[in-house]
Amino acid sequence: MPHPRLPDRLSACAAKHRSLCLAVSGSVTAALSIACEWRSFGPSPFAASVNVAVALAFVLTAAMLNGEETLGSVTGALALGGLLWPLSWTAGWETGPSALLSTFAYSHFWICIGWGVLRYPTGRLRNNGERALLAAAVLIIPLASLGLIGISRPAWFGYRENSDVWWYGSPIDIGTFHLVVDVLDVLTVALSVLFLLVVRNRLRRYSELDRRIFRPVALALLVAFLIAATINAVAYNPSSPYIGPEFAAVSLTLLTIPLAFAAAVLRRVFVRARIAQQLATLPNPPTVGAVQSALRNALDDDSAEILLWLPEEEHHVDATGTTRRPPGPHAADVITELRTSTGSPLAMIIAAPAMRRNRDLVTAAVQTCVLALENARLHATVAAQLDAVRSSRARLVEAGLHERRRLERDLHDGAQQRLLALATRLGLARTKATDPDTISAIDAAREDLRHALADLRSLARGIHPAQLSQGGLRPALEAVTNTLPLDVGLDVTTERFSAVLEAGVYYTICEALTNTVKHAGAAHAVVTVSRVGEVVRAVVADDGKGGATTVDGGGLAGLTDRVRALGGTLEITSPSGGGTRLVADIPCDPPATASSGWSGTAVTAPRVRHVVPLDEGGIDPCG
Amino acid sequence: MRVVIADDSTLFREGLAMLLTSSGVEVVAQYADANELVQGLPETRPDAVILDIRMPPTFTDEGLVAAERIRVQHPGTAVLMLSTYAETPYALRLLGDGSGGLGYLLKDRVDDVGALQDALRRVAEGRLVLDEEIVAGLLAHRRHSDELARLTPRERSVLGHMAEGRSNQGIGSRLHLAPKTVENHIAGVFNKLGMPASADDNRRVLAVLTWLRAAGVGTGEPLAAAGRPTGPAATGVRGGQATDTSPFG
Repeated sequence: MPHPRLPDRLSACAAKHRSLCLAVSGSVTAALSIACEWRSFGPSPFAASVNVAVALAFVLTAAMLNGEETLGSVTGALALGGLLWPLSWTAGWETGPSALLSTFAYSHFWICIGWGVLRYPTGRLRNNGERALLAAAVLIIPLASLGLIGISRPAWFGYRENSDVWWYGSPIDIGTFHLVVDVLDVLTVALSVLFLLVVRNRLRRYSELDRRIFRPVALALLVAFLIAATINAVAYNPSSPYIGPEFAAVSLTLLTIPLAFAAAVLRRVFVRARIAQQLATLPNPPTVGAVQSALRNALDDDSAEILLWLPEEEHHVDATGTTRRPPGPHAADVITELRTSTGSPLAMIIAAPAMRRNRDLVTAAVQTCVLALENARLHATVAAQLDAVRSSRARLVEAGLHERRRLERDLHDGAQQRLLALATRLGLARTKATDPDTISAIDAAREDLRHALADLRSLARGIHPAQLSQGGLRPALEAVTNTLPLDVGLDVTTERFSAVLEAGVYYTICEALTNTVKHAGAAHAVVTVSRVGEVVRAVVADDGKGGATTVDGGGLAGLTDRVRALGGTLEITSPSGGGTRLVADIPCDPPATASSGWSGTAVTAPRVRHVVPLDEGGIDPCG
Repeated sequence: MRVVIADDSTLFREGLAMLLTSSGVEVVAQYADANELVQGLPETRPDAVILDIRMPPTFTDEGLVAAERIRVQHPGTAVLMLSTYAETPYALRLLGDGSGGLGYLLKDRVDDVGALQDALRRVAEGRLVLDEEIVAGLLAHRRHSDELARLTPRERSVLGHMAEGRSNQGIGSRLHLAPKTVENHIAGVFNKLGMPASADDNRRVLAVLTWLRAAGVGTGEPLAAAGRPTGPAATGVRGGQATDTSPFG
């Protein structure tokens, strides 16, 4: 049995000098085919020409595919098949060893093609079943054919009665001979069907990519096998210069095999193009999840994974942001390490073991990923830092709010109650006193104490109005506006929101009213707070002189910061002479921080409650 | 007069008890917790209870909740709230049902035992009493309204005293005016403000409060902040507020 794979050195040399190799192998094959069939061109010129074309197509295709990684294991079989096929037609010489040569070549041609298919794509037979199938094929096709010669006459094989072909053995009874032939024919058909089942089973276990590439080749081979097996039932091997229409049909079918290989090569080109295209349509900024799904799509490998290296954390994360340990160097998976343009580690790409055969495609895909991944990591890093800043600010502000409440409670329970107890004692002293001097002294003390209590109350209210936590925005804002030297109309929803949102809206409105009192020269103001869908809208409008502008560090800039910290927007309309109108839209349910970028689908960042920084500056009308 | 006190500040509570005792008021019991006060009412049977608003366990509005329970379970017992803060919504929530025997004063007033006694007496008589600071806040709130500008200074001070819950006689003695003169001023106020006159003193207080509270923008629900029914008098006043629209649109 010949080894269907060309020696590696020859293969490498042929790949290096492809055009020379094509020219030489083409001429040799053409010369050989014509020589083998020189007697057939007369009686059946069409079939003979087709046979030359088949031999050429096989050999040239093998030369072309030589070096193609996935198809390498079948190129040898193709090349050998391309030589065996014309040798089969030496039968037309009808002299000397031609009959033996033809029988040998024709039967081995099919074994060679079958073996090539079974070797795809690993270059090895998969199991004993396949080995048994091949052994049976060798036994039934070439050995039986050569054996049949030993028990027959050339005429029984279709050779002319008086031909001087070499023959051996002694003929048996012709009836028994035909029985043996019939049995072998049935076995051959059965073999073809078994082969078909094995290949189908194989195709099923291929990766999607391999399947897509090899399917047309397998199909063409199978059709050729079935036709050949069927013809075998009505005709023997080639045995005369005349090539019957049945053999012409087989030849035409064989021509589709190189075409199918060409289709397979084209498909690989398409796959490469698709990878480039998929990665070109990534969102901007790309997420690791998006790059990964593009890669999976391109490679038809749903297990392909990208593990991004985070230099600061010094570990890998997968597309969902979960920390992952990359597989070791001995893992079965195909692992590709990616580096940034500056050479630092970027990511690891892990593909299914089956992708080893399509390493070139994986590499092509992976190379196009580098920029997108680098971009994604940068974006994710910035997003993560922003997250950290936001949540730290949120914690600070919540702590601030908590501290304000505690201070107010301490004032209420401590200093205020102590001073109020003092008031009862002064009241008692006042009832007991009879001396006018004492009475006036006590009255003065009472007066001072009332001022002290009023001051303290003001201070406590400015720190945190108890009404805000208890009754919400409406009563708290009523308490504020009642004390302002300005007529304020209030239209405030009674709906309650989170403490942080309420505090944010409250201080925003207080600050806006402070500005109105200080700068606007207004007689009236209107404050409305309402819920518009998922947004709380606070509007503060006055009839003052307008012309308010935002300057760095000024009151309006502070207001804008305050509203932005709550994830909201602030719009200020202040035409000169036309009053000032502030509209703050603040989301009721603060959005999670922008997608951290680890994944296109799942946001893995913890939800951060946006809170307002409590600004101590300026006059606080709430005080 | 028999009173019970609930206030979680021991220092203030005992000072207040001492002050009241010295002026002839019998302090039957003291509590640090409003619930205990309510539970003890069948035994203590006071003429009036004095309640703080912020008390345990949540330090929010326990006193108000207790007052509401007392109104339902012991309607004959007068309630005087003594609070660190003068909160208009709380006062209106308390007085909103229109019946008397209720008061809301700042704790600061305890330095004047006469005023305290006066307030206790008035709530025990079934009248409404409101701290002058709340009334001053409400007046400030309406200071720019055209109707208020039409009142004479004397009428404005009569309005303030009405809001604090004083009777004609009480206003007269405060302002040193003859009862007839007070009546004339009151009639002038009601006329200029377009309020429906009411013979009932407590309804009169509510009508005045409701008018004072009405905001510049047409919220239509001046008393709804506390989420309480506002009573017929309040409704009547609200109906008369055709001019209450936004000052600048």
